Amino acid sequence: MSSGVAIGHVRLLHVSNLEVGESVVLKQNIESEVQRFQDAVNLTGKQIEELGKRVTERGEDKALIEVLTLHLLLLEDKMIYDRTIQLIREENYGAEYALSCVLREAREKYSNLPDLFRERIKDVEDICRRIMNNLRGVQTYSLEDMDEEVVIVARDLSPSDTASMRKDKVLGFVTEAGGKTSHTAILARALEIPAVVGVSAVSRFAQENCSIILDGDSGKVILSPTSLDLKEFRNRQHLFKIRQSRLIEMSELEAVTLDGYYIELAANIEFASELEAITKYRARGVGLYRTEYLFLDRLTIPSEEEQYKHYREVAEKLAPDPVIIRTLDIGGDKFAHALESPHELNPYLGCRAIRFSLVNQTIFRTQLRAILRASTEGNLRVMYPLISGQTELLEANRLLESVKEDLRSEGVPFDEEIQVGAMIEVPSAVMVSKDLAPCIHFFSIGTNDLIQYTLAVDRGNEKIAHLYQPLHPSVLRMIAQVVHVGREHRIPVSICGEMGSDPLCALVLLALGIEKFSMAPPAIPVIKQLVRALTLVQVRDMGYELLQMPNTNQIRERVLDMLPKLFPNGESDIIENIHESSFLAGTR
Amino acid sequence: MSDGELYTKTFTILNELGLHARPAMLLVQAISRLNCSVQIEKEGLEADAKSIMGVLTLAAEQGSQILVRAEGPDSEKAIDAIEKLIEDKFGED
Repeated sequence: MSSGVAIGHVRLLHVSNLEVGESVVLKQNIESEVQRFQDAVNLTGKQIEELGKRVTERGEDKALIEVLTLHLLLLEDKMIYDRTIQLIREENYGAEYALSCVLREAREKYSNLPDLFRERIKDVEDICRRIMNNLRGVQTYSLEDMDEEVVIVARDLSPSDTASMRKDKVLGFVTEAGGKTSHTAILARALEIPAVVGVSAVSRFAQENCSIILDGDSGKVILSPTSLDLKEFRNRQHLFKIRQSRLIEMSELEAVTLDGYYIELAANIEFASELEAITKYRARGVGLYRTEYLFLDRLTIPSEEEQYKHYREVAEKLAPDPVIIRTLDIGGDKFAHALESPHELNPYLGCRAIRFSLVNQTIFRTQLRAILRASTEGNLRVMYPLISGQTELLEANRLLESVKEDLRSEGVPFDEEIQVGAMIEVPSAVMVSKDLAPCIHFFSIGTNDLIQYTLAVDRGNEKIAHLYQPLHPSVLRMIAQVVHVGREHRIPVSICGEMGSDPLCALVLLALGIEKFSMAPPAIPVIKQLVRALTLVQVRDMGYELLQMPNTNQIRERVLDMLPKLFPNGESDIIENIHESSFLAGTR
Repeated sequence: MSDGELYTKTFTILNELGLHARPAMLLVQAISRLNCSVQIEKEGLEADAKSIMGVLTLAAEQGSQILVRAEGPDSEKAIDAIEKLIEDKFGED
C-alpha cells in the first residue's frame, strides 16, 4: 500500500483474457469473420499511431516510441495477421479463437529462445490483447495515454505499467493482485501515488466512471461513496497533507536519537528522476538504487554510455553522500512477462539477480563498466543482489576485477577504492555471512526477499499474506546474526527492505543493533521523527529479550507494551503511528 | 523463378546484442516494401525476413552465421540493404 487518500472516478484497466474457448463459424460467415478480424487490426493500428502521436507531443520517451513501432510491425506480421486469417478460413475458427491459437503457437516458438529474444513474447501478447479488445469492443487503456484524472482499478499491474504511469493523471490505484511488498506497491510508494493492493474481485465490482475513494493508510476502498463518506475522506485527505508538510518541515533536522546516536536514513530509488524526492525528504544518499528499472519497457539493453549517464547524474548530485548501486535484479516478479518462461516453474528460485548476471556476463560487464566509470564523479558503491554463497560472490568479484583491469589498460579513470557489498536476502547467505564478510566492504539486508525465502511465503500471494511476518522470530534471529558478524568483521550492516519503513519494525531493527536504513524517500520523515524521540540504549536493551521470544504475536505485544516506557514524553502521534503500522506487522 | 533472380549471401552478425528487437525491426523495415521474398537461414532454422517474429525466433546472436536468400525483381536490393545494416552493426555503439 502507498499512503494518502485518493478521491476520483474509476478507470477500469481491462486485461482481456487471451485464452479463448474453441469456437467455429458457419461456412457462409467465414468471410465476414475475416473482415471482422481485419477491422479489429486496422482499428488497433490507428490506436497505436494515435498513442504514438500523443507520446511524441509530450516529448518524452524515445524508448516508448520504439516499442510502439515494434508493435505496429507485429500487427502486420505474417505469423500473426496471415496466420489468423488462415485459421479462420481453413479451420472455420472464430476470430478470437484463431487469434488465441496464434498466440499459443508464438509462445511455443519463443519458449526455448535465449532470454533476450524470449522476452519479446511480451510484445506479441500486448498486441494480441489490443486486437482481442477491439474484437470484443472493449476499450484498451494504457497507462501512458491517460488524459484525465482517474483512479485506476485493475486485476494486476505489471512493474512496467506502474513505471509508465503518469503521476499527474493517476490519482491512485487499486489492484486485486499483489501483496504489500510486491513491486507494484513499492513503485506506488516511490511515485507517491496512493494505492491499495490485494483487494479481491474489485475489478468486477467497480464500474467505469463510478466514484471511488481509496485510503492507502487503512487499506479501505469505497465504491460509490455517500456524501458523508466523501466529507469524511476529504477531511482525511486534508489532514494527511497537513501531517505530511509538518513532517517535511521537521526533515531539516538530523536523525539523531535523544542519547546522541546518529541513525543513517538513506533512500531506495528506481530512477534518477527521483533525486527530487531525495532532497525533499532529506535522505542521506542512496542505500539502494534498483537499476533494473532502466532496463524495463524498451527494446534494447541500455548501452554503457546511457547507464553511465544515469549513474553519474545520481553520483554527482548526491556527492559526497554515498550511492549504492545494486546490479541488475532481473527475475522474480520483475520482468514477469519477459521471464515468465515455461521452463522456470519457480521464478523466485530461478535464474534471477546475480545468477542472471553471472550467466549473461556481457550485460553484467557493461553495467560494471558504467558504474566504475561513473565512480569518479561521487561516492558510488556496488552491491550484488541475491548472493547465496561465497563462490558466487568470488565469481562476481573476479568479473569486477577484470573489468577494472580493462579500464586500467585503456587508461579510463575510476575510483580504485570503490566499495563493494553483498545483499543478504537468502537464508544461506545468513548462515555463511562470516565467510562472505572478508570478501566485501558492507552487507545490506534485503528484508523483502529474506522474509519470503525464510518463511517460504510468496509475498505476492494475498491468500497467505498473514504468514508474511517480518517480526517472525526466525527473521529477527537472522538479522541479529548478520549484525553480529558485521561487528566482528567491522563492516557496516544496513537494511534496505520495506521493513525499515514501518515504524514498529524499525523500532525492532534498532533494538537488534541496526543503525543504517534505506527506504522509499516518503517514508523517511516518519522514521526520522521516531528516531529523534527515542533513547537508543533503552531500545537496545529490549533486543536480547525479543530474540528469546517464541512467536510473532509475543514479540509484537512486547514492543507495544514497552512504548510508554520508550517514549516517556508521550509523543502521542508517534505511538499512534506505531500502533497503526499494521501493514508489515503481519498480525493484523 | 522466371520473373526474378535468386540471390544468396552468407553474413556474420557483428553487433554485440545480435539480431534482437531493434536490429530485427530495422531489417524488416528495410526490406518489407521490396518486391521479392527473403528468407533467412540459421543452423537449419528458416524464417521469413519480412516477419519480425520470424527474425526474432532465429535468436541470431553476435558471431552467428546467417544465409540470406532473396528471390524476385528486388532481390539484389534486399541483399544490399541487409549487408549495409549488418556492416553498420545496426547503428549500435
